[in-house]
Amino acid sequence: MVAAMFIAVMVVWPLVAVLVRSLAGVGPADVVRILARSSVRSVVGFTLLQATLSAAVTVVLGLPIAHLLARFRFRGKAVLRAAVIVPFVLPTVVVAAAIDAVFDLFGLRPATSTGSDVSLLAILYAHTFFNLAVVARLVGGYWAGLDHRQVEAARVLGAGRLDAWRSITLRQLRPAIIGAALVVFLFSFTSFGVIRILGGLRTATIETEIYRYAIARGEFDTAAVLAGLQILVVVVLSVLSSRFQRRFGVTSSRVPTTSPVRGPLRGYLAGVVVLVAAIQGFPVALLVAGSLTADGRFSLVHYRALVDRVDLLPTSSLEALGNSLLFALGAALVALVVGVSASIAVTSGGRIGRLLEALTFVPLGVSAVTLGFGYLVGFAAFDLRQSIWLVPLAHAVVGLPFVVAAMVPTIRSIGPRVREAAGALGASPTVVWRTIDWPIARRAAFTGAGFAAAVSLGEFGATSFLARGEASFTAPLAIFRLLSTPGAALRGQALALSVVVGLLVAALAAVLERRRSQGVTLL
Amino acid sequence: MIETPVAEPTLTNTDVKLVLENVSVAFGDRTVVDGVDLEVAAGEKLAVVGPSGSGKSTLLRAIAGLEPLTGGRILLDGRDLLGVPTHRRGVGLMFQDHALFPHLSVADNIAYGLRHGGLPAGSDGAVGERVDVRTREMLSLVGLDGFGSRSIDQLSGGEAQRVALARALAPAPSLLMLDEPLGSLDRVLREQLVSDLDLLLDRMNQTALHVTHDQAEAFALADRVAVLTEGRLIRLGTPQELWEDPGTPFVATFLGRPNIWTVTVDVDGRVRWLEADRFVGTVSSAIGADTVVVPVDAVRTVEPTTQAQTGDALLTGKVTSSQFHQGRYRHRAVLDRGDAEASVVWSDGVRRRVGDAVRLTVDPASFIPLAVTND
Repeated sequence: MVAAMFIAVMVVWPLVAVLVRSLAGVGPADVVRILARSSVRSVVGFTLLQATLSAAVTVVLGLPIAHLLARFRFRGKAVLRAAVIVPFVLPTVVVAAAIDAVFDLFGLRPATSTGSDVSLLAILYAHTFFNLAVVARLVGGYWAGLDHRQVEAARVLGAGRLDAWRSITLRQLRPAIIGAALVVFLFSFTSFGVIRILGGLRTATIETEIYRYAIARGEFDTAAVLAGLQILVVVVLSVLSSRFQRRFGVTSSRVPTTSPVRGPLRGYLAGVVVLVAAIQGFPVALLVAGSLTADGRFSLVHYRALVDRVDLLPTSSLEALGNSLLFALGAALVALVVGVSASIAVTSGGRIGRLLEALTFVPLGVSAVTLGFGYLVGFAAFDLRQSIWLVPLAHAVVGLPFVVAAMVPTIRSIGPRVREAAGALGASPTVVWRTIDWPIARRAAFTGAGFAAAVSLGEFGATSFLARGEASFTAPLAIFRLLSTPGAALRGQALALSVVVGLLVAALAAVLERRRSQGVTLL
Repeated sequence: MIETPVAEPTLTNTDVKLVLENVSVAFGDRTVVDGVDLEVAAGEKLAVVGPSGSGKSTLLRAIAGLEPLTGGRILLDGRDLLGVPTHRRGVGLMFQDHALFPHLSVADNIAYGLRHGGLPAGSDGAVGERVDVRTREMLSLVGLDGFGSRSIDQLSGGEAQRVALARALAPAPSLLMLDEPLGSLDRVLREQLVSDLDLLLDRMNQTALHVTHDQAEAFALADRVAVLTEGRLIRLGTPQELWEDPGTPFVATFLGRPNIWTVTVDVDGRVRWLEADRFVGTVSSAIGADTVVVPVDAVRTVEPTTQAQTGDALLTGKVTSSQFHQGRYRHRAVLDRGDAEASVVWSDGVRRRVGDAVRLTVDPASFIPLAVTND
C-alpha cells in the first residue's frame, strides 16, 4: 500500500502531468510547430548523434574488456574489474569535472567553451567512462556463460578460428551486444549532468533544453513537448532493450571456464589495461592532481576553500555537502521503507505486483530531469516545490529501483517449499514473512538502500529543478556552478569538492559491493 | 548422385587409420597424458576407458588438435597431424553433453560442418542443395526425419544425442571420436542408444574412438578396449580378453570384477588367503602370482545340511548383502574373524538374509592370476 501510493504520487503522477501538458495542454498544432523549429530539430539531431556515437565507441572499447574478464584469469583481475565497474556509480558532475581536467591539459575547457567540437569529444569521453561498466557487465557476464566447447565443436567441424568466432561466439553474443548498446544509448540519450557541464555554453541535448526552457526561460509548453518526446523515446528503447535481454536465454548453465593469460595474450592484457587506465584511470588521476595543485605547486588551498563562502554559491561548499549527506540519509530511509513495501507486493505476484515492479524501474529509464520537471508541472498547484522535502523525496524515487532490484531476486530465491514448510509448522503468512523472508532479504534491502544513498549524493538532474535557496543547495549543484564559471580558483575548488564527493560515493559503493548479496547489481 | 555414408572401398579393415606414438600432454607441470602408444585400424571401434581424471578426454582433445602435444606424434591416414589446425584434421568429435549450437536449428547444426568445413566428396549439384540433401540424409540416418526446423531446446536428451551424432558424421570424418556420448542419459535410454550407435557405426564402417568411464558401455560398443589411468595406457585388448585376463588389480576392479585376493601357495600346492590365515584349497600347478581374481562362479555354498567332507577347505562367514539381479541373487559375505577385506562375492539362486551364516568353497583351479603393479 505504502509503495503503491508513493509510486502513484511520485512516479506516475508527474509523468502523466508532463504528458497531459505536452499533448492536451499544448495542442497538436503547437506540438508540431515546436518540433519543427530549427533550433529544436538540431538539438534532437545532436542528442541522437552523441548517444549513437557514445554507444558505438563504448561497445567497441568495452568488448575486449568484457572478453578478458569473461574468458581469462590473471593476477589483478579483481582490481581491473573494480576499476571498470566503480566509475559507473560516480556522480555525473564528478566525472564531468574529471573529463574537464583532461581537456584542461590541452588548454581546453569544455565546461566553459563555446565550441561544439571539443564538447562532443568531451561528452563521448565521459559517456565511455561511465558505460564501459555496462558493456563489461552485460556482455562480459553473458560471454562468461557461453559454452566454450561450442567454438571447439565448430572448429572440429571444419570452421577456421575466425570463422568459428564469427559464426558461434559473435553470433551468440549479438543479443548481449545489442542490448548493451541500447542501454548505453539510453543512458547517453538521457544524460544531463555531463552535457550541462561539458556541453559548455552552446552544446545542448533534449535533456538540457527541457531544463533551459523550463527554468531559464519559463516556457513550460516547449519543455513539456520535449519531455514528452523524451518519454516516448525512452519507452520505445526500454521495450526494445528488454526484448533483447529476454533473448539472452540461450546462455548455457555450465560452470564458466577461464584460461590463464599466456604468450601473445600478455600483450592483449597489457593493451586492455592501458585502455582502462587511459579512459578511466587518467581522468580520475588528473582530477585528484588538479585538486591538489595551485599555481603549479602542491597545495591544499582548494580544500581549505571548501569552508569559505563564495559569492557564486548560496552556501559554502561544505554546507552544501552537509545538505547532500542529510538528503542522502533521508532518501535512503524513504527508499528503504517504500522499497521493502514494494518488494512484498512485487513478490506476492499477481497483476498489481507485476505492474508495480515495472513502475518501480521507470525512474531508471526516464531521466531524472523529466521527473524533476514533472514535479514542477504536477505539483504546481500545491507549491510543494518550495518545500525542501521534495529533493530527498525525488532522490528516494531515483534510489528506489536499487532497493527493489536487490530485494526481489533474493526473496524469489527462497523456494516455495521453505515457506510451505514454515506454514506446515504453524506459521501464518505474516509470521512466515517476518521469520523467513525478512531475515534473508534484510541484507539485500540495506545494501539497496546504501546504493540509494550513493545515488542521492551525486544526483544532479532532478535536484537542478527542485533545489531552492540555501537549505536545498547540494554538493553536485555547487560543483556545477564552480566548474561552469571561468576562473582557476573556482575550478580548483570544484575539483576538490568533486574529489570529496567522489571518494564518499566510491567508498560507499566499495563497501556495499563487498557485502553485496547474490543478485544485487548496480545495473 | 547422393553419396551414401559408406567408407571408401579402397580401404580394408586391416588398414591403419590412426597411430599414436608416445603421445604426451601436460597442463603446466601436470602430465595428463603420458606416453600413449596406440593404433586404430580402419573401421575399428576402439573404446578408451578409465576413471575420471585419467586423461581420456584430453587424449581425444589432443587428437582433435584442441590441446597441444608436449611429446610424441599423431598420424591420421598416414599424415602427421603436427601443426595441422583443428579444422583441417578431418576428425569428428561428439562432445560430452553434445555442445549443440543453441542459436541454430537442428538442420543448421547438422549443416554447420558442411557449410564451414566442406562437403564430403562425390556429390554433384549446387552447394546449397547438396548441403540440404546431405542434412536430410543425416537426419534420416539417426531416425529424426522431419526434425530439421526444430530448435535445440525442444529436443529430448536422446534426440539431442542423435543430432550431435548426425552433426559429427555429416562431413564424413575420417575418424569419429565420441566423448562420453551417453553420459547424461538415463539407463534405459543408454541401452537403447548403445545398440543403435553400435549398429550405425558398423553399417557405415566408421572408424571410431570412444571415451567412456563406463566399462559396460565400452564392452557393448568396442572391438577393442584400452584402459587408461593417470595418463598411461595400461591395458589393451578385446572385451573378452580384458574380462578373462584383466592383468592388474586396478583393471580388474575397474571392470567390475569382485574377489581380488592376495594368496600364498606352498610347495604342496596348498593355497592360503588372508596372510595365510585361511586355507582355501589345493592346486596341482603353480598359480604364478600372489594376486588373483576369484571368478564369481568359482565360489559355491555348502549347505549346513550337507556333512563337510574331510579335506574340504571351508570358509565360514555371515551374509552382509544380498541383491536380486536378473534371476539370481548376488551375495556378499564377510568371513568370521576377518576384517572388511575378507569378503567374498558369489551368486546363486537362493534368497539369503543379512546375518545368515554361510559356508563357502572355492575352486583354486579357476583363479585368474594378476600382475601386481605399483598402482
